[in-house]
Amino acid sequence: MLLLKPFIKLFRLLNSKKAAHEIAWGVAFGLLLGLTPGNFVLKFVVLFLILLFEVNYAACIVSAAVFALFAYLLDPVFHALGWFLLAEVESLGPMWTTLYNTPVVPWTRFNNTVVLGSLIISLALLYPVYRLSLAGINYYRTVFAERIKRIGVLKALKLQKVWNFVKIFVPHGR
Amino acid sequence: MKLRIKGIIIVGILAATLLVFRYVFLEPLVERTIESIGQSIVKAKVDVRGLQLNLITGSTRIKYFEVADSGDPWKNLFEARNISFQLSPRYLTFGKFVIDEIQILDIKCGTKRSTSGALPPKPEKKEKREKKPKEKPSGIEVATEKLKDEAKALPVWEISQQVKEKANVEAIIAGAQLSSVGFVEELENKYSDPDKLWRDILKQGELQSSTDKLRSDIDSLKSTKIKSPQDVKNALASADIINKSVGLVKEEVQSRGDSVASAFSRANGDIAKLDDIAKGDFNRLKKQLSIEELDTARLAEALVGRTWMERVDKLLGTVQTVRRFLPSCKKEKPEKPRRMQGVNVEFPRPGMPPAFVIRKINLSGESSNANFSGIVTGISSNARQYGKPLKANIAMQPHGGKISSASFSALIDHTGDIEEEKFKLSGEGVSLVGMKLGSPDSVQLTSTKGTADIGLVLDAIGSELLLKLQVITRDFSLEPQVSGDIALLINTLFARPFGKITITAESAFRNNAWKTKITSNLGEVLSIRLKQAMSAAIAEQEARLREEIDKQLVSRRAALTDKIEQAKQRGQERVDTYRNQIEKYRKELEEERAKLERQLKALLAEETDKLKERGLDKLRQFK
Repeated sequence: MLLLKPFIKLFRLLNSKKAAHEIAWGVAFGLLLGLTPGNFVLKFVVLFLILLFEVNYAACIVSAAVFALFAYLLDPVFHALGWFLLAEVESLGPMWTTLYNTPVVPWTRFNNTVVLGSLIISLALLYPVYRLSLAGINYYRTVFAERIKRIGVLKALKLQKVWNFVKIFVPHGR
Repeated sequence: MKLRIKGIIIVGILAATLLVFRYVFLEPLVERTIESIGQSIVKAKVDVRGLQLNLITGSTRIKYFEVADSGDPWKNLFEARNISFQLSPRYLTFGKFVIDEIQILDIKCGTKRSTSGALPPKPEKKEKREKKPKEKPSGIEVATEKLKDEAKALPVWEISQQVKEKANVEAIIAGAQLSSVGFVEELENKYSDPDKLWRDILKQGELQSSTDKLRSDIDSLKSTKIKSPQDVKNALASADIINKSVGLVKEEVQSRGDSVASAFSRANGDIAKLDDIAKGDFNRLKKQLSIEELDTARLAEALVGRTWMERVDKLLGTVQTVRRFLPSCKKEKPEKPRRMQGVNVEFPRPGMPPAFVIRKINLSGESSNANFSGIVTGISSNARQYGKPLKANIAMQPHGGKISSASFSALIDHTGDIEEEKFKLSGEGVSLVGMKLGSPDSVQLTSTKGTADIGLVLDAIGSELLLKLQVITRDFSLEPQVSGDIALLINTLFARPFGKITITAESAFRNNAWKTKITSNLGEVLSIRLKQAMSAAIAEQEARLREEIDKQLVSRRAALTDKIEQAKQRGQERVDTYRNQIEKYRKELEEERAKLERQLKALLAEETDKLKERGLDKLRQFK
């Protein structure tokens, strides 16, 4: 049940009157947090942004947890991309060297293949994920919530307990 | 995205919290971190108090730093006050801790603690599922392992066995074939019936018959009836013949008597020969009692070797510790990255130091025995990147009387693929009290007095090691811990101080094998002392040996001598009897002869008278 709680919260959030773009940004920032392992400086910056801007925390946490699982699966891809950019693309060498010799930047551990690979991929996916999330939330609120509502027939069948569970997924006031 | 007012407030609160954390919790947190790292290294409590940190300038000050001794938790390994250093802010922005100079000026070693410095026992960790594959042992580990074999191969001073063997006279005699005993047996057989000596010579029957014949001749002479002078003349002729026979028999007796005397003289000569043979036996066995020339080189190895090996073992431990804490940065082949770890790609960073650097430490302080001061330079987490080896030079000015002066220097060069460490320790007037030599298996020696000038060099290049020690002692005394028969002798050997003893030990580990060479005049000095000490003991043993040989011979010799002497007397008596008889016969013969002569004279006078009467008658008739 404990594992389900974030999802329940997310569904409650989806069914709430919160702005869709806040939730979508939450999912997008969650992607940044989840996909970038070991990059504490980046995580700190993202958390700072989440606090400063209107981004939904719950969506961010759930998204980060989900993307962390993906991060584990995608590790070889991150490493391959990071290695390619750091070691194989010679034209980028001077840039990396400059960054490497710039104060504070080395704290980001950008010279780590997985850190750089995951950062590049997560930054590349940030906006698409935002757009997709936004579209998904809107689709859910307009189409999927209606379908759930029809399951209200269960109420008639007095399956109260089941209804109480399903009720979570039904938008308020409907 | 809109700015969140609440978020700004939260960020503000967070910033305020950070500030509070900086001023309230940061310094204690750094103190605990240093303590934790220190405790993991020394395995004992580390206390840091009064840390002051300036994050802007990097200036750091520690008022009190205390490290407990893991061997004796109620003592400090050292404590230091007022440690100050400055972290380079420039390098801190690169995540590097670079300290140009640390001043540690009030170090005190071996101070007492009010609380125990032992760490609480750690809960036992559950066994990890995945056992790490055993790593290939390092060169030093191989050397340490092989050192045990080298120590086992060292000789042991077998003086106890050696002297015990020498001292066992009974065993020596039991194991020896004594010629004198064989000879006495031979003599006992030869002279089992010593009367035979004279009996055979005198041929008793022959002489007896000669004397008996003389007797009968004399008796028959005596019984001759004398009627006329002619009878007397005949008797005198017989007497002359008998006298001749007496002379012959007398000569015979004389010659036989001489033979008897010489036979017994030969027997006595044989017995005298026994003494010479016994003397030969004694001289032969005496050689077994003497201590042969000691192998002084072996003796030095036996006495110093074990102690040296223990020191070598400790020094190897030091090298191993140094290599563990200051690893070399070999260019390793890129490994397959572990999941979620990735690979750090390094880029050229000219002039950039490694993650942790202390360029220079000025230290001074005091231990229970000495004041010390010195400089350590070039401590870094990556010597190859830093490009400079670690160097240490520490001078000691002792005040406890245990040492006159000492210095220590170290060069730890891990800048290349092959680690290189050089340690040099020299001390003058180092107290030797408590130093142990020898081995518990034979004779253990403890130094009770004396000082020495010591020079120790350890040179480790990769897995090749060279360790050299030179000790020159002054007024050096050793006390042996030994019991049993040998104790007196050993105590005598070590009763006097040794004066100047030079010990040189050299151990090298090359091509996976140790080679140790130990030289010392201690072996020679001991050899001389042993000979001196053993001379009295050997003399005593010689006397015992003589006694033991005599014990086997004297009674038998005396019995044999008595027996022969008695036989000699009996032989002599017999010869004397014959002599006396002959003498008696001679006298009797002389008397008889005189008697006959008188008779002849009387008869002749009578005849003359008769003739005179007859003549007178004739004259008268004529007249």
